[in-house]
Amino acid sequence: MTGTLQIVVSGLVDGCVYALIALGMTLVYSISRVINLAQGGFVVLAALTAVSLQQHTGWAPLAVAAIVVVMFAAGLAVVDRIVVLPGARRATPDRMLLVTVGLLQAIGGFLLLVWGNLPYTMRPFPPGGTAVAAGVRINSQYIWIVGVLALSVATVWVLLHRTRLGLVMRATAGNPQAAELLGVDTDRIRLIAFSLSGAMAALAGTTVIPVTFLQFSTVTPYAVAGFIAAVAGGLGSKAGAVVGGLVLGLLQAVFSRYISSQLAEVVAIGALIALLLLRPSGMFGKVSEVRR
Amino acid sequence: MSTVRVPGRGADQSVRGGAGAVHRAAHGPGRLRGPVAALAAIAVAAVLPFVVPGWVGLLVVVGVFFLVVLGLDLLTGLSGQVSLGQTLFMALGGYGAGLLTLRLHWPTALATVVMALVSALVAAGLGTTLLRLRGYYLALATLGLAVITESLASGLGDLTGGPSGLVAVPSLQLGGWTVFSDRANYYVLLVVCAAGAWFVAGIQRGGTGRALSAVAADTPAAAMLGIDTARYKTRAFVASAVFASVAGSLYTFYLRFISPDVIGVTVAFSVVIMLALGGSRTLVGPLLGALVLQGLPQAGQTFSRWEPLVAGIVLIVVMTYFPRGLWGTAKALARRRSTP
Repeated sequence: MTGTLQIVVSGLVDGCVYALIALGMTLVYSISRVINLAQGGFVVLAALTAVSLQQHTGWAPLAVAAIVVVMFAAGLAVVDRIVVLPGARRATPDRMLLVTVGLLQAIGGFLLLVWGNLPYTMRPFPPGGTAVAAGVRINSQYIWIVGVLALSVATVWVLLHRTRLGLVMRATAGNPQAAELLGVDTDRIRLIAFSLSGAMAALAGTTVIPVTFLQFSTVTPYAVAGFIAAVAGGLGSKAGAVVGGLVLGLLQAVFSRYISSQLAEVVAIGALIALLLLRPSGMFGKVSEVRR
Repeated sequence: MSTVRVPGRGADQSVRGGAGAVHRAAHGPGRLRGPVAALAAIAVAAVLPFVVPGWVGLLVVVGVFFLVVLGLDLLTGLSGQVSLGQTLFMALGGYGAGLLTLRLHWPTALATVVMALVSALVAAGLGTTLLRLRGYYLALATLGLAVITESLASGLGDLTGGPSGLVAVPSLQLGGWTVFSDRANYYVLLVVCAAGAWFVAGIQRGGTGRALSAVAADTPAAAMLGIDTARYKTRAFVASAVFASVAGSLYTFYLRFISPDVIGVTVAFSVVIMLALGGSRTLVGPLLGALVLQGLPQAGQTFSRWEPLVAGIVLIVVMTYFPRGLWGTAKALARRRSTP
């Protein structure tokens, strides 16, 4: 029983990271109709940036994480202006997907160039250590990971549903042309969405790296997991992205307990493809966007 | 048919009907230009191993990927269905042929053909279900196939040899001839690629190509015109699967082993990148894409570290500013110059 609980806990922790990636992707998608596969790359880039910053300055991991989050919030706004916006103005959605594949590949290449092909990890946030509750070993970093997801979800929800800016963002997501006619600067709204997704990528990367090892080759698994979670939840649905991420993490963990971890991935993805075929809009999406 | 707006070749020809006629007249009998260009290309390819003897190994790999990308061109370029999962069929061809020859001692050529048929069946089965999805959702489902392929290849250790792969696969045997050297493999691939290119060119020119273009342009409109869109999409998927399977088999017989890295998700991405980079809806585009992407890492030891970064940036720039790819852009430039 405790064994099963342990699996559930570690699966949910992985799922939190996937959920954060998917939440960033789905937020950007709802505003700009762009699936940013590179989100998975930014997670690893943020994590390794934090590692290097921490090693060079000796500052506390928590302070380093905060700095990296601000860096990436600003950085993704720049990436949107330089890479994504020029593409989105010219390219069809299919080609836009390939632009972000290119971005993902470029980030992986940059990581290989700067950090080499070694895996990196970092000191955990305070207090560190593990606690045992009901026979389940809980790394204190797990609390941070769950907390960061909760904080992101709460922030996004309050922003979208309780502020004027959020109302404008929802209007832009619902009908960009109409929003523009009403005087909304949709490019500014895009920048805000990208900044938020950058902050979420950095949060995911900096909080997960103390409990795992990351390197240039981990960008694709994260991108794929986030993409799957976002689509399984229903593109554009924030609740769907979070649930999709958690379910994906849980499925992978549960199946890797009984069969090998590679086959667990097969089952998890197979289940999600089946979900897509049976309920193509994902768990929380709208059917009309998927088929015609 | 004439009322449908069909992009690419079809539209070019109908819109530029007048200009095209003049253009052709200026260059002599237009019907002969295609075959002459093809023969010239094959002749150049045939002497290439003697011109650059040190590069034959690279050319073999380029040939393998040209074949995969050529198949994908039918599916993505012509009928507009994105597939990120071509490695599934490369793996079926590669692992299937490897296992049949290694464990059951089948003749290599027979194993290649049988696995191509198996891939066709798998594609037909998957196609009827997956191709109902569109856009991002199809991309996701096929990406799922690529991930599953890599995971199965390393997860089914008893069958596939796990992460270290399937080793000691025999070389290709054609009659009494063992295709072992780089050069021999190159010539086999040259023949297969030429046949593949001929097939794709025929499809593009014929009624099937028109129908597939119509599906790409506007699926409901194509269906309204009486085109069985589901069947055409599935056919394109099956053809692309056969190309990938044969390429996978030949690659395995050339390398004499196959491992999860050979058919990994990164490879699945790079096949799509090759098509986009070179330019879809053409024959030269896939070749150019395969050549650039496989050739880049060979440009020097120090450069090979830069290769993923450069490839990524090139893909971004080409996709953003040159939607027709390198070859499509070059052709457009040449056309603009010749018709002032």
